[in-house]
Amino acid sequence: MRIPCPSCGERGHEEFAYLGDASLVRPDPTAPDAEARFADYVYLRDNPAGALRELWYHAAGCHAWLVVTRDTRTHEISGVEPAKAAALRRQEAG
Amino acid sequence: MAEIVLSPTSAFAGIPRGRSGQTDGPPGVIASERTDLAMATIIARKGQSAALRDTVREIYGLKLPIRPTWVGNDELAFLWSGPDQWLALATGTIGPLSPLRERVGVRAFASFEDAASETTASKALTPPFPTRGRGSPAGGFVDIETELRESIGAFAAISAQGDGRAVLRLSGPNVHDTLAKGLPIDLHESAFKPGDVAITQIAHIGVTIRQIDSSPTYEIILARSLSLSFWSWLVASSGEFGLDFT
Repeated sequence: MRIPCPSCGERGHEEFAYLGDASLVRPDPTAPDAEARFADYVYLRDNPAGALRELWYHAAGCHAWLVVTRDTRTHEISGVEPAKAAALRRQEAG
Repeated sequence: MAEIVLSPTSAFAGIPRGRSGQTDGPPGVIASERTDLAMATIIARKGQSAALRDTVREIYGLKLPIRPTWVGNDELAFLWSGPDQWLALATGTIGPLSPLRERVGVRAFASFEDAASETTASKALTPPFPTRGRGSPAGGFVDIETELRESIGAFAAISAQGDGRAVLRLSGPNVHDTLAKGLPIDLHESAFKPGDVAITQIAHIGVTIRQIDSSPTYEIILARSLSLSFWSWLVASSGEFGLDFT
């Protein structure tokens, strides 16, 4: 599998470290149901057969975190963006 | 008790110079170590990337690259090193404080406060920043860390790297054949040109590679603690062509 890094170009997956689902947002620890939310956040994962947005770290390259949209059935990559851009967008959206 | 004198030693100082591998005919690969470099990383402070690039352009006359390339010359070069990150390489034995700015005839900020007041983009800064780091390596190299902290420290975090990296310059007719055994990127002239930079790995060793000229000549920058592992790979991979270490 090769990942098209927005900074470095296409590189083999061995240059990257995998984190997982990029859609997770750390819950508010002061919320009344924080315990249940954290249990979901830490342990519960969907396992979709299809497109999944996931975090990869270009450890042996530019050291940037990326959000990669990968088809879990075929490893086909349909989109890559810097995680910083995705985080800023989420921040702006509130 | 005898006085212990520590003297700086280059990463490849213990490697014998001369020919290794195949010894018939001219060498396929020529390697030399660069021991004349001072190095520092530059990482833009949050929201200061544009101000940093403007300031570097004004002070040093060089455009910090925003894609994997390098700019500059033997005296001072900036290598792209990731988003909003660069590696500065400087030569010269004129330390401890470099008159680089005087030589290129530019204005120096008297202080970080002055630098900060010149740009509205830097309101969030909280000077003073430290102005002295570990200084230059013994031997009087350009003190690139102090130089950059004084010139662009308001916009970027600077840290000296000269003690921690090793640099090899590689050329010769079989340099591509040799690097292809370990480097996962394409060095064909249609994919990688003089002025290009890549951060990747060779034989699991993290390297920054930059192309110097089209002969082709490359420079490999790596952590000096891994220099002997890298050398072991290089000797094995260039053996069939013959390696000359000058």
